[in-house]
Amino acid sequence: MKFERELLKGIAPMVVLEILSRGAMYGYELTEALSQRSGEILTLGRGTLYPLLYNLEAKGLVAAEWEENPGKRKRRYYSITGRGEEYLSRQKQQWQQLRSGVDLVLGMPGPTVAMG
Amino acid sequence: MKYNFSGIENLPEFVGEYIKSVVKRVGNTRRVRREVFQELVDHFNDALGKCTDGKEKENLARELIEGFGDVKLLGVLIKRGKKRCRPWWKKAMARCMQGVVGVIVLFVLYTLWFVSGEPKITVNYREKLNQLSRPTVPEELNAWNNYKNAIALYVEPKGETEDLVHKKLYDFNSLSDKEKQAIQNWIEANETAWKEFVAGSKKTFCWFGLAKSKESDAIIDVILPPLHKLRFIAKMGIWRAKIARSNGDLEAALDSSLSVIRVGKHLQRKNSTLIEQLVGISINSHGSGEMLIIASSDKLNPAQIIKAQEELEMAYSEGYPLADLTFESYAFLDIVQYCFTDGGPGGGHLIPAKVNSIFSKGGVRSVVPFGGLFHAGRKETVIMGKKYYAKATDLAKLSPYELHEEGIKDWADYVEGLDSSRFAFVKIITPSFRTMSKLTYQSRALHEATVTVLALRRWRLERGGYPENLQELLESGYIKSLPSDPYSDGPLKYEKRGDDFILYSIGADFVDDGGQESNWGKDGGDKVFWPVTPKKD
Repeated sequence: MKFERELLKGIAPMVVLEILSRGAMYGYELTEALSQRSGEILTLGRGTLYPLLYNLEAKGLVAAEWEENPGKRKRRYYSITGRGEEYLSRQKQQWQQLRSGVDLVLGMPGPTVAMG
Repeated sequence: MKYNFSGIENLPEFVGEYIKSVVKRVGNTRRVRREVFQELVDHFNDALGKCTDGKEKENLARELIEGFGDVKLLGVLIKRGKKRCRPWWKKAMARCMQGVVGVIVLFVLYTLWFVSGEPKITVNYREKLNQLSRPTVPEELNAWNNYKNAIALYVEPKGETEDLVHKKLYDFNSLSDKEKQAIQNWIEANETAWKEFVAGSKKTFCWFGLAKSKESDAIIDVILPPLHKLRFIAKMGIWRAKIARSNGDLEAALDSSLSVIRVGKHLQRKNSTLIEQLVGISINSHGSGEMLIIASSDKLNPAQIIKAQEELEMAYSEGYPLADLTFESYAFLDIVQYCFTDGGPGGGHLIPAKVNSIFSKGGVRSVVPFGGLFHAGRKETVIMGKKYYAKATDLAKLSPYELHEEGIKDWADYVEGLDSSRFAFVKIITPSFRTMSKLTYQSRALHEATVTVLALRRWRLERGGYPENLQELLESGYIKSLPSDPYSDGPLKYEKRGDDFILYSIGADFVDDGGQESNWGKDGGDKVFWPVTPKKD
C-alpha cells in the first residue's frame, strides 16, 4: 500500500529508529526488516531511506560504521545511539497520543491515552 | 572519477550508470562520494542477489531504480544529509567561506554602487561668487577694464631683454648702456599698455567675473585672466621708476611705484581667489620695495614725500587686507557638489572617478579609487569643510606672533577629526592658509614700514635728524599709527643710529637680533626695511 508521502515522512524516523533499536543493520537489511515487521504495510521509499539515515546520523541519533565480515562485502551498518533511544522514546509517546486523538476524531475504537 | 569497489561488476550496466549519476550530484568530498557509491552498490547487490536469471534481475533492478526515484532529487537529498553529517569544524569553515563570499559579493555591489554614482549640481557657485565680488557701481569705475586692455596691449620682452627684465630688476646699476637701452626699448613698446595700467590704478574699484570654461561651470575649471601679465606690467613699472630715478626724475619714479602699489591693492580685493591675492601681494612688494629705495634719495623734497605718503595711505585707507578665504570656501562647496552624489546614506558619497578627474587637472595624484568607500558622506564632509574654513578665517586674523603665542602650528590640528582618513578629501582640497596669512602680514609690515620711512625722511628734512622713537613721530602727526611687527606684540623696531636710523621686524624666529638682515629671519636674523640693503641697487 502506498501512503501519502507527507504522512509517511513524519513517522519514518521513528520507525527506522525502532527497527535499529533491535540491532545494527545496513541499508537494504533495514528496508527488508521494515517491510517484514509492518506486514508489508510500511515500505520506505528507497530514495527516502539513505537521505533519512544521513540526517539521523547528522543529528547524532544513529551511528554508522563500515564493517567487514569474513567472506562478505564491506557494509555500512547503522545502529541507534543513546541519544537516538531517548528520541525514540519521546517519539513513541507522542505517537501514542497522536494516534489516540486521531482515532477519537475518526470514531475508531482504540486505547485511550491521556493527552498532555 | 574512478570507482574501485567490488560489486558493481555484478550489476546491470544501467544500474551502474544510475548510481554514478546519483553520486555525481552528491558533491562533497571524494571520500563521501565513495561511501555513498559503495552503499548504493551494496544495496542493489543485496536486492538483486536472490534473482535467478538475468531477466528477473533486470526487472527488479528497474523496479529498485524506480523506488529510488529521480536521480537529481536523490542526489540533492543525499547531498543535504551528508552535509549535515560534516564535523563541526568543517561546518564552521563552510560558514566562514560563505561569509567571505558574501562579503566579497556585497563589496562588489557596494563598489558598483559607488562607481555608478553621479553628482547633482544644484548651485552655480561661479555665478554666486561673481555676483558677490561685483560692487554696485557703474562699469566705468572698474579698473579691470583698463587692466584687460593693458594685458592685451602688453608686448613681452624678447631674447636677452627677457632675461634682463626678470633677472636684473634689483641690479640696475650694473647694467651696461646697451642693456639699459634694451630695457628702454621694451618700455617704449609698452607705452600704451602702461597708460592703461596707470589709468586703471587710479580707479577706486576693481572686479572681474570668473569665466566659464568649455568643459563645465565648475569653479575648478574657471578661466582666470592672465594675471602673470599684469605682474609683468607691474615689473615694468618698477623698471620705469628705476630709469626715472637714474635720470633724476624722482616724482615720476614715485608715481610709477605708487601705480604699481595701487594695482597690487586692487588684486587684494574682497572675495578674490588666493592666486589674485598672492599676485597682489607680490606686486605690492615690488612697489613698496622701490619706494623705499626712492626714499633713500636725498633729492626728495618734503612736498614729494607728503604726496607719496598720502597716496600710499589712501591706497589702503580701509586697512591692509588680510587673507580672504571667502572664494576658497565657496570653491570647496562647489568641488563637493561635483565630487559627491546628492542624497542617500550620509547625504551622498564620494565619487572616486570625479575626484580623479578633478585632481588630475591640478596634476595631483588622486586618492585611492576605493577611498570613496570609506570616506565620510557629503553632509559630514561639508560640515567638516565649513568648520575648517570658519577656523581658518578666525586664524587668518591672528598675526604670526599671535599664532606663535597660541602655540598654533598646523591649522588642521585645530579642527577635531580633520586628521582622520575619512576626511582625506577635505584635507586635500583645503590649502594651508598659514603661508598665505604669513605673506599677508609680511606685506602689511612692508607697507607700514614704507609709510613710516617716508614720514621719518620728511621729519629729517623738516626738523633735521630723526626722532628718538616712533612714538614721537606718531604724536607729531607724521604717521597715523605705529607700524606693527607681525612677529612681536609691539611695533617695528626703530632706533636712531648716528645720522641715520634702522627700522626692522624681529623676523620669523621671534628674536630681536638687533637689526641683522636675514630676509624675515626664519633661521635667525631680522627683516630690515631701513636702511635699504645694498643688494637693492
